[in-house]
Amino acid sequence: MGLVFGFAGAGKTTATARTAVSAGALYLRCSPVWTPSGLLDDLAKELRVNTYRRNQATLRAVVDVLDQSRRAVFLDDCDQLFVCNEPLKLFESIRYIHDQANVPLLFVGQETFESKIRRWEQPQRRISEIIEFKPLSLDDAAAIAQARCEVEVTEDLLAQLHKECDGSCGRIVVGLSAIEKLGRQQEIKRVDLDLWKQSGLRFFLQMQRLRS
Amino acid sequence: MARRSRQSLSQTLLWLNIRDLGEFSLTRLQRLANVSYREVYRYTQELIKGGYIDELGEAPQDRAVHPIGRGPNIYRLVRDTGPKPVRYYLERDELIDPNLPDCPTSDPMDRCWQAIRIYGQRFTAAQIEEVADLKHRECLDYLRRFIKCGYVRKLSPPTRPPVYRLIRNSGPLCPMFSKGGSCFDPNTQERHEPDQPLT
Repeated sequence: MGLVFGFAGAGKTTATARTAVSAGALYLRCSPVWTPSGLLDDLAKELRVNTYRRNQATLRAVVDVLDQSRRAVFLDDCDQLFVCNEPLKLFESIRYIHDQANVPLLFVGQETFESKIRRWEQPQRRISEIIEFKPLSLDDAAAIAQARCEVEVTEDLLAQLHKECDGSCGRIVVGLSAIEKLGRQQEIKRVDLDLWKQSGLRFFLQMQRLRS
Repeated sequence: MARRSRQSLSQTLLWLNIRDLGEFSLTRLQRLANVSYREVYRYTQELIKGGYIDELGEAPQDRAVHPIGRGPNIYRLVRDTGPKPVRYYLERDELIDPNLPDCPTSDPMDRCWQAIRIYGQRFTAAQIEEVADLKHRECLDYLRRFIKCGYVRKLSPPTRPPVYRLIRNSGPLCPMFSKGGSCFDPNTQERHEPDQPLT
């Protein structure tokens, strides 16, 4: 089992979705109303396996197909697992599927999920790989700007964007698209901080500190 | 429809029916999948070689009713790896299972469909390109086809870049399109023509 965690907007979903698509893994978004049978239903639907009245039979069918295909299972939005009525029961079901099918399983959640899961010995003991998504550095932001932005973003403007983004990958992408839009409107290939300030535009609709 | 896509459609129908039936005779499979007996025979022989199905022998209960006094052979699926159809490539004489993580080929349209299903409610073409590892034009072409057949919708009011939404998540298998634009959805096994979105 593995765990990927980080604050909202860190790019966890994009990174794990890309890995899931390229590796042909099963990708499920956790639901706040999941029960063990709800989880089984969703897995059966993804694998196109018949569901039976008895959960045990559906479980057997799901485990058989997973075992034969060796496909990894990615569970995104795992924070929702703690909103469910019986989270421990749900974790036990996930653990059972993982043990029986012997396939890699990846939990993806926010920082709160990591701290909550640490309290439970059973799931925590089985997690062998932990990846934390930390806030992006200025160098990371520069790399994203180079790869994603059609106009050149000067260092001072990028530093301002990075400061306002608080290291959130999602926000940097949104901010870069606003800069790109300005460049397109004014038909220029390079946008600097002075020009940005003159335009009166904002990177985002509403300024909000993500991390204190 | 080109020969290759017809072959791919036949194999999709055969694999889906084999998974549904579990145990089957070739005539029953042919009747349900509605493909030629030759294709059924060739595909099942390749699946036997690949270890996906086993030949169980003659079905004793059919012996009495069969016109020549011999019942059809029964086959059983013994290796069910998942929903994506196991493909047999005649030209290369190769069996490829896209359900396995180490599968050598990955269909870009399938990757696009999987990425769309992950984002679901709200996504841009750039997000899909990133996740599915597609080129911009390729991605827009696939999105256009999904829109035409009623799987995806552009959200209004129009924005730049446009925002899309998945409105018909029919299942894990990517819809198949022919050159004429008609579409077959292997999840529901429905066919429809372009500009006649599925209801």
